[in-house]
Amino acid sequence: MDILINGMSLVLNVETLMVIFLASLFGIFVGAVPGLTATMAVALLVPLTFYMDTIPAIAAIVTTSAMAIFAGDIPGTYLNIPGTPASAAYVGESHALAKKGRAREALGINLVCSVFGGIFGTIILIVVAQSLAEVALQFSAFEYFWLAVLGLSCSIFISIGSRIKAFLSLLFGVLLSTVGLDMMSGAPRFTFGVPDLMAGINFIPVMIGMFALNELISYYGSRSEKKNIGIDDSDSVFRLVPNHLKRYWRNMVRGSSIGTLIGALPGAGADIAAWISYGVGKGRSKEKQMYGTGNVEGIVDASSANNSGISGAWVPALVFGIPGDSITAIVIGVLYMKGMNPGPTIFMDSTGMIYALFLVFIVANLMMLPVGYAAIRLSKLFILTPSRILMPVILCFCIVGAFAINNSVVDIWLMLIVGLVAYLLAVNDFPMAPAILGLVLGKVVENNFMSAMLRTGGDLTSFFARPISVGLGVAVILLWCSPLLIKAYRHYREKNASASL
Amino acid sequence: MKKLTIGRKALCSSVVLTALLATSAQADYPERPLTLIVPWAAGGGTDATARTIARALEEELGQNVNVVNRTGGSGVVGHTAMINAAPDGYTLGLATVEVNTMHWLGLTDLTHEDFTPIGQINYDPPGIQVAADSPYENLGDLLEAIRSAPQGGFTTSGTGQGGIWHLAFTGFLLDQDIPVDQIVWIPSEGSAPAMTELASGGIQAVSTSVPEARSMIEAGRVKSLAVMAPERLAAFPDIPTTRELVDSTYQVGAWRGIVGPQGMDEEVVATLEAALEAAYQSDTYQDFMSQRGFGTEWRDAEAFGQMMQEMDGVLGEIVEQVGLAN
Amino acid sequence: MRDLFAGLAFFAAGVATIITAQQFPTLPSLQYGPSLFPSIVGGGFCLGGAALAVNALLARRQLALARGADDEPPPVAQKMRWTMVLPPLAVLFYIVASDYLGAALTMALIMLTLMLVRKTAPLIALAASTLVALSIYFVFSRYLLIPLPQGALFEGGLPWIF
Repeated sequence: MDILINGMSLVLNVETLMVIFLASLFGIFVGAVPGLTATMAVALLVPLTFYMDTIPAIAAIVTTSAMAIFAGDIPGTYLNIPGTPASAAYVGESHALAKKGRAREALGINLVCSVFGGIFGTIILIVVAQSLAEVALQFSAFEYFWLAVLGLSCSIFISIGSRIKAFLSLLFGVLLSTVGLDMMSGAPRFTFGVPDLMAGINFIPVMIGMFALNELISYYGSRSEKKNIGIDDSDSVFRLVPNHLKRYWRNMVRGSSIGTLIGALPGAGADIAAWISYGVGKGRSKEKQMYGTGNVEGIVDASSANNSGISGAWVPALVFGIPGDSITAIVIGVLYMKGMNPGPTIFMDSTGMIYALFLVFIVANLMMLPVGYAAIRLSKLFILTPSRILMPVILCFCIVGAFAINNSVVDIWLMLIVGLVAYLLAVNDFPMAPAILGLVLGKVVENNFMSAMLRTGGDLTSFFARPISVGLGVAVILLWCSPLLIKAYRHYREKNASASL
Repeated sequence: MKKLTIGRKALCSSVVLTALLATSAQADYPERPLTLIVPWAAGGGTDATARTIARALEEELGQNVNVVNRTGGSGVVGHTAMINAAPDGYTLGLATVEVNTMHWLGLTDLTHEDFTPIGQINYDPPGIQVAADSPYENLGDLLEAIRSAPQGGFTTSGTGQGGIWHLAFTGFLLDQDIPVDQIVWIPSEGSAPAMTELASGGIQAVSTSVPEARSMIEAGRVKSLAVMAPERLAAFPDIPTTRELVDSTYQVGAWRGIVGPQGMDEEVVATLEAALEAAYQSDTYQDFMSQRGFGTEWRDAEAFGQMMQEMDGVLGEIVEQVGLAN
Repeated sequence: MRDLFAGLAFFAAGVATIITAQQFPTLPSLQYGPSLFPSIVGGGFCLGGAALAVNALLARRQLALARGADDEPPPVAQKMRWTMVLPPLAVLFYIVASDYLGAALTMALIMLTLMLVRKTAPLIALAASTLVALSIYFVFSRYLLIPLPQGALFEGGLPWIF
């Protein structure tokens, strides 16, 4: 009990709470600017944490990352520019709602689901971190291969419109992911002699090019100053949240569970989680045809999954010192520096540090509610500022955002070229979101496949030799066959029906 | 006539001015903030080392030292940026061991000779890790298993193809007269994925620096059989050295040091060298390194240059033997 | 009709990808070389592109059948203004000019031009673009430590915030 009180006093003091508040403002800013990422924000905090105590230092990181992931959805909703690959899953959904004048409603439910997902993930972290980490450690190249294939398949499955176009868009992303030094052979591929391309293509400039540049070209190509997002005075942040929660609480719990589980896997993160959760949501929904047209249900599925994935990533980080994503990779360094070495012993420590850490997670997530609310209200600026002023400003943010990833002009070139290709694809009704997922997961699929083949001497059956691997593999194959199976079933029923006539 | 005088006057004064500026550049160096280029991503071990030494350097030099990450191309981009900087002492870089490997692998033309060495600040020797429940109790068991495995039947990992731990481990096998094609190196993106593969039973041994394996060792999932160093590491006194076990003097590991572009002024180098040594000795730096478990090793400009030279030859040979030379 | 072209373009891209991939080196120890995945992607491009083109042709034939001898429906292409090339040109301008003019001035020029093109009041455009360019520059280079180019034009002659 003393430990618990000690832990609480480490968090509930003016310094820590102030840090959490300031970090959440920083997180909102970084998340809302296209091109700045949560990972980058956390890396910038590291030198500051040198001067802080352990708990405020960790609080700053937790708050900034959680806040930035949510804030990425604000430009996503208003401008159709997603902040992270995870939010690319449902950017179409929330932008469609914004067009109907329901931007605040979309962001409100998003915020509540994000907070719920974050806290849900924390509770899992507190209760079953050690056993969950054991499960995560069972995942090897075979399992990661299937999981990534499952994520990719979901992106086609959930796309609206032509499946062939979604498939081609996905492959475009996968092709971009093969650029750079091949991990297996060390050979450069599609680098055209540019050293900057050897590390591969970062998804940030690509995402900016695909979504933002695309929007800018359409704006300057049209004569209209009219916004395609309307203001509706009855649109309120939280008013409809209780209704939605009553209807979709199952989606929220399911999304959070999927998010935490996948987030806890060191080789898979919030992005796969959001897409799979969205895909599962669509598959099980009673209103499948509503998905993609501005449907709250899809936002609930995916936004609860990506925030719980952020918490889930801490599971292997705390238990084994193995990062669950790029943010926890930085966190582990900070933990060591503060003498709080990750490992099973971290849960047995007697100074209340670990309780303080858990409490930080909960306070940071709760802090999202007021700060996020203020940010949503403030984001009315996107609507109030005339497009002719807003659009040039966005363009400049895009340029410096693309540059900021590697401090390299090559990334601005990349944004430009991909943006032009994406524009051509978009006017021909190709969906963009699968390409982002293809870029993020293409490498995961390839590297794990190659690595598995290398160690088994090219034995393809090894993908069905481990229990978890078999389960995932069967799930993927069922998903692929589901359109055929459904067709066959309908056919069979029709035949029966006509026979009975 | 008048014009000429003015011209001549201007010429004279500009000569004097440049001379003055030149001497003051050395005497008052540094008079504005410095930039330290890091060739790896923000948040990693190299980045943290750079930021700490930058902070210690600031105290010595009385000027800000701004860390700038230039990532990409397995270190090529950042190291290239270092050699292309103006040699005025205001842009330095934190060079890593990749300087000695990249050009052998055919990724770039730059070599250690393109730099002005200032001082080495860190050295991490490779460790050899296996899963805690693996049948190999000690280094002898492991080497025997590798010797008697069918060709290419022993799986190892730790870095990407041609990464420092790949080369260091293969070099050790060569040193022990074990043919390199006895093992198959499964490339991985960094040490963490290799550690999970090791624990999940996907591979048989991992070679990384010991600090990178630390949390898994402390979690009881992984054991370190040996470290390739002349004496035991202060942070890990239980891990025996290869010298004790197999009497090997083979030593190849990951170093980090501060460098500048070619053609720097000798006085500026001397100023920096002295400041860097003081920064290296500072509590800020030493405390950080021991917290993280990173190895500390100091070499002054000359010794650092020699070390790079020697390491370059050794690594070139290994790259050749592994068949990655380009 | 557009789908036909898109399909053919993807088919061509697929063939180009496969040909490029064949030139990648292979390692003897690998069962599958670095060309495997690019080739699969190339193959996917070919398949998907062909399917798209065939579908477009079929749809056109059906349409033609349904409408008798009628030609295809009149194209409903939205007329795009020439200004649509401005955003890509602005990015290109930044890439070329920022090293010399510096990020702040380049961004200000870009924003000013783009605002004026859409008939913003000149004074407002000038004020907004200057203000935004300076604050982006300041926040990014001071607080986010991103080395935006200062510009060779001003080398050393700038006030302290730069």
